[in-house]
Order: sequence, then structure tokens, then C-alpha cells
Amino acid sequence: MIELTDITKRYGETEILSGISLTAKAGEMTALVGPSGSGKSTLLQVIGLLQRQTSGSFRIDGRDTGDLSEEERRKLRLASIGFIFQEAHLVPFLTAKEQLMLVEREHGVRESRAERLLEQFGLAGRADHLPATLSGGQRQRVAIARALVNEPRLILADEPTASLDYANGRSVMEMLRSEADTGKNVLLITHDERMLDLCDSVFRLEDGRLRK
Amino acid sequence: MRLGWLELRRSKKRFMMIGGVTTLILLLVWMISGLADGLAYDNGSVYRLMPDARFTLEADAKGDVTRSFLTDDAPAGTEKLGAQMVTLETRDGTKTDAAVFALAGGSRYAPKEAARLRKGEVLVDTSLLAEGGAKVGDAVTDFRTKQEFRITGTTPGRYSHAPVLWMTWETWQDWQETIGVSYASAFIGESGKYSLRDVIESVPGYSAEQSSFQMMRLFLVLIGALLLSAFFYLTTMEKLPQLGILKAIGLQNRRMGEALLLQVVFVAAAAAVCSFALALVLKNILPADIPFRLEAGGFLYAGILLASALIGALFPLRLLGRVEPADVIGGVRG
Ligand SMILES: Nc1ncnc2c1ncn2[C@@H]1O[C@H](COP(=O)(O)OP(=O)(O)OP(=O)(O)O)[C@@H](O)[C@H]1O
Ligand SMILES: [Mg+2]
Repeated sequence: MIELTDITKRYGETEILSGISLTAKAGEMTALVGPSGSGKSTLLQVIGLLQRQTSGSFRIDGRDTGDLSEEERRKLRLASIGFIFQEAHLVPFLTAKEQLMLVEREHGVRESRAERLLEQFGLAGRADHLPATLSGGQRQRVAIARALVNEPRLILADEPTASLDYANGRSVMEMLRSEADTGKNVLLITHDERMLDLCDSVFRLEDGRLRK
Repeated sequence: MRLGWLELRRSKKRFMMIGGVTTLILLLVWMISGLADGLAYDNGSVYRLMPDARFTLEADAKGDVTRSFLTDDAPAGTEKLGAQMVTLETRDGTKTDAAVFALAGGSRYAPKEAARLRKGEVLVDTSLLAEGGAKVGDAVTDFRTKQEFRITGTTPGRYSHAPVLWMTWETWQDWQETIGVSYASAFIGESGKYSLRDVIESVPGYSAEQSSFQMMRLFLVLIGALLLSAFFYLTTMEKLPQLGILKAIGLQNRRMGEALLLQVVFVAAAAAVCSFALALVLKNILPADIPFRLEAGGFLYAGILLASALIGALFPLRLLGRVEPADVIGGVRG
């Protein structure tokens, strides 16, 4: 469960996020929508411990993140958060399986788990392919598998379907849905209204403010 | 570490390009150094026979033995050295410049083979045979005095880019008498005002030549170092987004730093080896009349270049500590 209370983010004079308060529960899929430039990505990065808020408090599972050091934030990212970006952002020189094994030494991911995940995402035959030899949809699925490999409690996705056609996008959304159903806390940004039916709740951001 | 190797193996083209550029710049350094050192050697290699000698010259000769005329007796512990530039005429009438060097038979500063020379006999550098069209056994004539010398063998030695002609002190004296003089160019021995370095630097043309080369080398190393460090800087910067992703996932900075360091060191070492090998090949295919020597100085300059490449590559790593994963992924910044 994540709880944001009165989160504000400023870049110099400009306020990007103003007084955001929201709660997202484990086992639910929450969507963030809003016009371009409204601050969605910024908000997601604050939640993902990639940026610090200017003010306000942010708790993950009841734990305040405000007093964590950089190293503690890194460890928390590694252990509890899975990121999915608009682009797959795979490491170009690693095979599909190696992408998943990347966190191996850091987190003790087992090879069998990596293989099982790839199979689950229909990539069993692609485990030894480099990103350049995968289709866009396959790449995005590898990226999602990579986000899930450390069994994060929190999954953050920034427009995960934007680079995919509808069918592929839909299947990605369904995968995220089923992750939520297994008790994960899924938070995603989307521009595609057709996907909102899969979400439990939708937050609308406009000019850095929340409109439910 | 493993990460670094994997990338080296899988992104061969990229690393070969980086390594190729580094190799070429290093090769340039080897070439310039090799040519400079080759010319330096060619300009005074006759002196290599006299490594620990000191020289006494006429006061206003400015260190150049061929401009020094001494008529005193040699002080104790020294011996007389004769040195003079001549124009030789070979049997077929070809004229060629040469430097005559003379020491007493059996002198420790003369080539070993010179101990067996008799009056009127000389040893010559092989380049005289090649350029002047003479053979061992031929006679050559000093164009001005018409004195004849018989070539009985060869011994390596060059002075001021001309082949050296070795003779004994007797031959020298005999020859000088034909023009009515009797002098030594230098007293050579354990004591004397000039060191070997001094007389080499006073070989006509040596200093001018070497200072030109030194400037060339200086600029080459400066520009090469800037170029390489900028090049490696850019190739690391180019990878920052990738590193940002890894950082977002939660990888340690240290692991990424190690991978990068491994790659830079590997590429730099490979480039050093390849460029040196290429320089050796070039040395062998260069025509014999272009002197080329690989000496310690070249290694120093190559080392400076490699060090600057390393600094260039690792400089952005400082940024890694500060890079916000958010700055390199997602969001409106692309
Ligand atoms: N590092 C930064 N410095 C200054 N302004 C920034 C910075 N990052 C983002 N912004 C500004 O914050 C605002 C919100 O950006 P953000 O990326 O969160 O938008 P978004 O809602 O994700 O938009 P989109 O739908 O186009 O991805 C934008 O106006 C942007 O210009
Ligand atoms: Mg965005």
C-alpha cells in the first residue's frame, strides 16, 4: 500500500506537482491519466524513489520514505519496486534471460525463476535472443518480466502500451491485471482510455493537481 | 566484471571502432617518435662506439668535432681523434659526402675491426657502398686532396646523415700532410670538457632537426591526448542512459564502474599492443634510407596518451553517482 500526503514537487520556481494526496492498495491496479505535461511521469518517479518530492510525505507499506538515504532507496528499489517504461529500455547487449538475471547477484534471482517468467510471458523460445532480434511487443514483455523478476510488491508502469498496437497493448495490460490479482500493487500511466476498464481506480492529473 | 566482458563480446563492432581510433592515434605517436629517434641516431651513431668518453675541443668549435683544430699534444689519459667532412669520388666518378673518423690503431673508442687496418686502408658504413656505388676492395678518392683510400671492410657508423669512413691515425696524418697541416679534431678520453651528449647535440643539423621533431611530438601528444580523452568521454556519456536504467533497477554504482573500467583498460591495452605491432611492421617495410628506431621515449608518449584516454572515460563516472535515473529515462525528457 502506498500513501501520498500533500506531495509537492518544484523545479526552481515552477511547481510541477501541487498537494497530491492519494492511496493505492495492494491487489489493485490504479491508473494515472491526464494531459501531456501534467506531471504524471514526475509523480510516478517520486513514487518509484527515482526523485525526491519537495515537500509532503510518502509511505510505502506504512514506512515513511522521507528519511531514507540514497543507498537505502536503492535497496528498496531493488527489493520492492518493478519499473516498466514506455520504451522497453533493455540493455542492448544482454539476452532476454540475462536481462532478468541482471539482478541476480544483487538479489539472488534464480535461473529457474527467470526461465519460468519468460515462459509465462510467451518468450520461452526467445530466452537467448538479444533485444535487437526481438519484436517491439516481445521487448516490452521482456521488460515487464524484468520488472517482475525480483517479485516487487509495487509495480510502476509509465505508458507501458504506448509503443505497442492495441492487441499487444491489451495483452500487456492483462498481464499487469493478473499481477494485481496476485496481490501486487500496480500503478500505471496511460493515454489509452480503452484500457481503463481493467483498472480498479483512475486518478486524473491536470496541471499538477489531482481531479478524481 | 561479467557485465563488462559480456558487453565487450557482444558489442564487438563498437569496441573495435573505439579501439581502432585509439590504435591509429597511438600509431601516429610511434611513427613520429620512431622517425625522430631514427634521425637522431642516424645523425650521430658513430658516437655510439664511445659511450663513456669525454671530449676536449678547440674553444670556439662549439662542440662540433669537425670544426675543431687542435695542434697540442694530447694530455695524459686522452688520445687524438680526427674528424672531418669530405667529398669522396668513387671509381665511376660518383661524388658522395662522408665523414672521416680517425683514431690510433687498436683504440678502445674505434670499432674492433679497425685494429687491423693498415696505412691507406679504410672501413666504411654500408650506406656509402649503396649510395656511392663502391664495393669492398675499391679505392675512393678525397675529391679535394686526391688522396686515395682502399675500402677493406664495413662498419656501421653515421655522422650528420653521412656515412662514416674509419681510418687509423697514421693514415689520417699521412693525408693531412699532403695539404701541409697536422692537427687533431679532439682529445678523447676519461676527462674533457664535453660529454657525449654535448658532442651529439652539436652535430651539424642535429639540434634544429630534433627541436622540430620535439615540437611535432609535443603537439601530437597534446592533441592526441585531448582527442582521446574527449572521445572516451563521449563514448561513456553515450552510455549514461543505459546506466541510468541499471541504476533505476537498483544496481550498484560500483558494479557499473567496474564494468566500464574493465572495458576501457582492455581497449586501451589492446590498442597499445596493436599499434606497437603495426609500428614494428612499418619499421620493417620502410625503405632502408629512412632511419626509424623505437626507443624508450615513444613508450612514454604512448603511456601519456593512454592515461588521458582513461581519465576521459572515467570522468563521467563521477556523474554516475549523481545521475538521477529519472533524468535519463521516461518523462518528457525522453
Ligand atoms: N528536470 C526538470 N526540470 C524542469 N522541469 C521539468 C523537469 N522534468 C519535468 N519538468 C516539467 O514538469 C512537467 C511535467 O512533466 P512530466 O514528465 O511529469 O509530464 P507527463 O504528465 O508525464 O507528460 P507526458 O504525458 O507528455 O509524458 C512538464 O511541464 C515538464 O516540463
Ligand atoms: Mg510522461
